[in-house]
Amino acid sequence: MIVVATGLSDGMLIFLIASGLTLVLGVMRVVNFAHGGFFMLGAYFAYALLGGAVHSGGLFIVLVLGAAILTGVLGLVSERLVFRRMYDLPDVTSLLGTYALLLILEGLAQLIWGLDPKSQPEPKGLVSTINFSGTPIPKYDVLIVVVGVAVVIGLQLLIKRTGFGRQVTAVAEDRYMASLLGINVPRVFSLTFGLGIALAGLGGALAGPTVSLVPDLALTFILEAFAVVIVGGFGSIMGSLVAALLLGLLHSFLAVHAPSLADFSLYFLMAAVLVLRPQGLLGSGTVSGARA
Amino acid sequence: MSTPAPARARALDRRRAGWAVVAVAVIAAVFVIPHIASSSALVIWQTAVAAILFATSVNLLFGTAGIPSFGQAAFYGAGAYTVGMTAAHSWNVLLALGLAIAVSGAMALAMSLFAWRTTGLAFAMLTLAIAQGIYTLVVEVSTFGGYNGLLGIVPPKLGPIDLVQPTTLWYFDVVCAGLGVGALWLISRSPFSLTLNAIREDPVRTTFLGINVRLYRVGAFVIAGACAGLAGALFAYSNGLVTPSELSWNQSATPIIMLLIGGTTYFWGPAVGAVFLTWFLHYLTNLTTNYLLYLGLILMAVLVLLPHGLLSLPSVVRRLRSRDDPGPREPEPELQVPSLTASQGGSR
Repeated sequence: MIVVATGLSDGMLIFLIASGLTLVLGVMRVVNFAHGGFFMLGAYFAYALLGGAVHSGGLFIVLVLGAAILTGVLGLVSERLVFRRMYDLPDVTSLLGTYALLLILEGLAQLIWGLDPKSQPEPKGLVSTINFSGTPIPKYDVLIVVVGVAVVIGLQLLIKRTGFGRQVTAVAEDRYMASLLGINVPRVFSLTFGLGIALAGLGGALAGPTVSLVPDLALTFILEAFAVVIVGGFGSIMGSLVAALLLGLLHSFLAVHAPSLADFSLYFLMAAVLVLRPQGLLGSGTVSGARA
Repeated sequence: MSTPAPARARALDRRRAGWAVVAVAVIAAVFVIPHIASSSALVIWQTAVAAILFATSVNLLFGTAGIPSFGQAAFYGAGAYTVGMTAAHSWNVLLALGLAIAVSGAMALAMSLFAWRTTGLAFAMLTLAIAQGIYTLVVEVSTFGGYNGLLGIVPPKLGPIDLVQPTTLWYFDVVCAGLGVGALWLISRSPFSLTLNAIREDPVRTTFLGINVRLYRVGAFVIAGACAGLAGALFAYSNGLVTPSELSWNQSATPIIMLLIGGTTYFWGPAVGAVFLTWFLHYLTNLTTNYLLYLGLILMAVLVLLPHGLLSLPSVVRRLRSRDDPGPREPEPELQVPSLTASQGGSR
């Protein structure tokens, strides 16, 4: 039972990062290495806002959301300054551009907060565990799962039920046709990017209490998020959710039953999916196939 | 309106003379460096020579074939670890290097069978993930020394020649890397490379021409992997150690940064970028602990200001100068007929 709980909360955390990554990838066709950098900044922003102190649960959530919004705003600024120049460049050059941005973000975090690990305690009231049919489950894990579910529902509503969501779908499908239909493609790009980065910031802010804060955090989760995007299918948010939860569960299961294999759960999952379903669990294969 | 024949011949002569000057300068540098460089500087020059081979091999993928591999560190590290593991045996150095090339080439073949189930950006992410998986494997298996890696690697003898002496090792490095880069240069002038260009520009149409796109891509991947292995092996001999960081994803990114700084459209671009970045990083890490920030800023500046790399600097300067020139102007874009631009492109 505790295995399942840990797996779900780990998986949800990865989903929060991967959802923004896959959103940006699906709509803008940019693999954003800097995504991990924004995740790391989200964690540091939350640390700065919370001051490393213990807060009540409500204030904690408000400040975590504040950190997510701050990260999102930074994402918007970097879209204007950096990414906008890269849409017309070849894939490889834009990949390198996002890598350069990742280095800059990591360097900035090191400049501001230094290399010493910082730690952010969990909020008051969420340190304890709740009893779930006899198994104690950390309340913080429950919080992460709840936030994750809220993000899934929110994203589905946004994309399926709003005019903006339809614009995003149209641009992802065919940006040229979308622009002919009068959709402001640059604006859709900006807002999608801002949203994706805010999700990375949210993931970082929530992960803060569970990790020690170092600038290297940028790399720790990004690889799992990449793998989740591949496994789930390019640009598919629900695919990322399924893949992230699978990864979280597999990792926590292996950590208990075969600890030496736990670090490889990522690769097992990826190998299995690539052999059986190269386009990803819920992917249509269009994005990956469209550009060789 | 092509350039008059005598003028073109003169331009060609000037070009040839330019190349001759550069070639003589490089050869002179090879013989001068071991005499003037301190022993620590010589190790960095040796690292730079390995980096030249590594970056040039990666450009076969990125520049020539348009294959975005972010996992080349796996092959570089494989080469380094192979010579690290064989250093204890008193093999001939050529046997050890041959094994390093074979191991990394075989790994590239194995990885390509997996990774070519995807293309484009998915391929980039997948190669990165597989390479990181190999990194994790090496760290966890105790035979490979864990996080400490393998220490005290001494190059074995080349027949009667002892390579432990730094200057001898320098010449050996230059010859080996030179052979590797020379092979890549021959490839760059071959029909094989032209076909890779066609695949880069339009894989679908190339398929329709009856070319086995997959075979060519796998071929390029294996050649690049084998050269990366040789580069890694040379690095291990000159530095005397291998650590898992030779397999890390930063090690995959380094040659890509090099070829971008130098210019992917030039064969010698990656080499220029490799020498520049190796020394730049050396000085930067001495100056500041926060070298990531400055490396990121420099890379961003190159991408934005000089998207075709350092080697495009002369032509960029020439274009800027000719814009200031009151003399003969280039025709206005509206007046250019398509066939005209094509003939200009062809005469270069």
